[in-house]
Amino acid sequence: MILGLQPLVFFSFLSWPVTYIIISIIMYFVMARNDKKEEAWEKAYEEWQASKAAGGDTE
Amino acid sequence: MTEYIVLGIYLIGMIGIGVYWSKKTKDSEDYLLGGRAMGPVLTALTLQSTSMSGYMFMGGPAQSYKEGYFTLWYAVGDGGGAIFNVGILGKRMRRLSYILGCLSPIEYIEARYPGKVTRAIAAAIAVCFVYGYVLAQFLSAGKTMHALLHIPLPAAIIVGAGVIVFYTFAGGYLAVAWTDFIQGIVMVLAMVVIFVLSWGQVGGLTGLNEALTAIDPTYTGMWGYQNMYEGQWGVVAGAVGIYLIGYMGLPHVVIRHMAMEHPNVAKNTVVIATVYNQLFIFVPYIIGLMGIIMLPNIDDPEMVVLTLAYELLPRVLAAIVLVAIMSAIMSTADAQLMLMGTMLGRDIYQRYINKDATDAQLMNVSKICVLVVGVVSVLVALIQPPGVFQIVVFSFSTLGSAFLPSYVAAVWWKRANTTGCVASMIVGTIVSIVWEVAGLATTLGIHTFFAGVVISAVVFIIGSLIGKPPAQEIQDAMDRAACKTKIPAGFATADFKELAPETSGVISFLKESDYMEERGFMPV
Repeated sequence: MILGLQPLVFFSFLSWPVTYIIISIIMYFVMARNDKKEEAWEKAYEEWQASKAAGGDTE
Repeated sequence: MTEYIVLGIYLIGMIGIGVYWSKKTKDSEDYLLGGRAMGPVLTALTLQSTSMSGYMFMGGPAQSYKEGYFTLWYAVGDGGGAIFNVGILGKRMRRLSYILGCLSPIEYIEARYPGKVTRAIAAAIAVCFVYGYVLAQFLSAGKTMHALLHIPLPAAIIVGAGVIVFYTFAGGYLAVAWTDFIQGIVMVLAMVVIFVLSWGQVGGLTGLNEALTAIDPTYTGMWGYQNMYEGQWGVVAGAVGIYLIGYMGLPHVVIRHMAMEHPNVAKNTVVIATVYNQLFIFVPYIIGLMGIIMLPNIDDPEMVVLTLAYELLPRVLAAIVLVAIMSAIMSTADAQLMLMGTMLGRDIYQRYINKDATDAQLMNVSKICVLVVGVVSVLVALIQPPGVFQIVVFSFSTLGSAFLPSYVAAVWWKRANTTGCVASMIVGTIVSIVWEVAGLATTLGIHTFFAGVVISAVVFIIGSLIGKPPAQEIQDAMDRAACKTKIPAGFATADFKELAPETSGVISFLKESDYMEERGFMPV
């Protein structure tokens, strides 16, 4: 018994809060890593668009 | 008397927020989307408090009081809802809606799936079912005040709904988001305080579970009290899925992604919203279980939370719990009312009546729509039409079935097209209604939401495969939203220019190797 519940019942219902918090923290780091790549991409994209608008290199 | 004073202060505070933000709102983007300036905390709390209605204070605990641990299947899904909703949709929907210039979730559907009938069908479904929701929330607000404070029902509806209409009308999205923020905090604090005090009374979780098992072992079993749901995996899948993924199909919820100040707000929002969910979602159901031990003879199980509040807390704090219940109802109602104004202003008036409407006209029309819908809803609520709550029971399932595949595929599947979207919206809505009306959920043991979303998704895929691929500009917009547009390598190296000069050798190496190409940058 875990906290007065059958193990299957405990893990089915009460293990999720901790699991979800751990998943959200992992997601935070994964998304933060992607944010950095995307920020570099956005900067490059804006420079490219500005250059195109100014009649510079387009491809 | 204490309750009247506390509730009065709260309602005046909400009105004050509406007045404050009415002075800060300058254009239609401010009014409809808060100027796309929502940070992570505000986004997380408005997202979650909008998603949670008064059900969490009354219906949820009552259900676990009657059915035991089985009810926690809903919490299992709901607890992870923010991870799916923000993680899958948040960032990309924010980017794509901005690129496509959309201010409403229905306009977004049309921009992504262009077609003569797309917006008309989407708006018709959303207006009908969201309006049903607004009406039911107004009725709930009135009935709650009537039951708890013994105010005559008509007066309770006018006061409760009137405050919601006022601050939504005056302050728009910003007022809704800030009131949601405060309401969200009040809701979670009230719930946690009652939980902690009840915890001591029942001897913690172990004491609670042992006591429940002693009364009836099926309370702590997998299949509900007296094994009432034994073997019904379709019901379990629906109970978990409805809130785990269902929020991705609700227009009044996904509009919160569009209002984020930047896509990178999503990563903080996921964590904040998930922690909030664990505190607010599992707790009410467990309080319902505690009620079985602490209040074995209660007449109305929906009053478990409030009765415990009055038994365990000083009167003034118990009155704050009452305010928390009103907060839960109001935070959902205001978002839906705001969405009604947005849809009627942007998706009906500007799209079909006055295509050349100025920004000021759009904002004013949206405000008037909020006011008109609010006043009409109050008047209809006063009549208390029969069947309103029955509509709401399957509003969630219907909206989810109609829109979920379209919103998810909009950012994740390039082949997703108008044929799939229109077919899925129509079929999802019909399946959901027929399933509910024919009682198939009970007969077949398959939850309405589960059936609706699965069939709608299948139809969406088939329709998209049959129909023409989306236009090139939409595919380009999707690439841009996913940061996958190919950029000439000369620009791709721009961010390296700020590095020390000695890195130029490294940059040359990167250009010559596969490094840049692997990351989506075109070789020169």
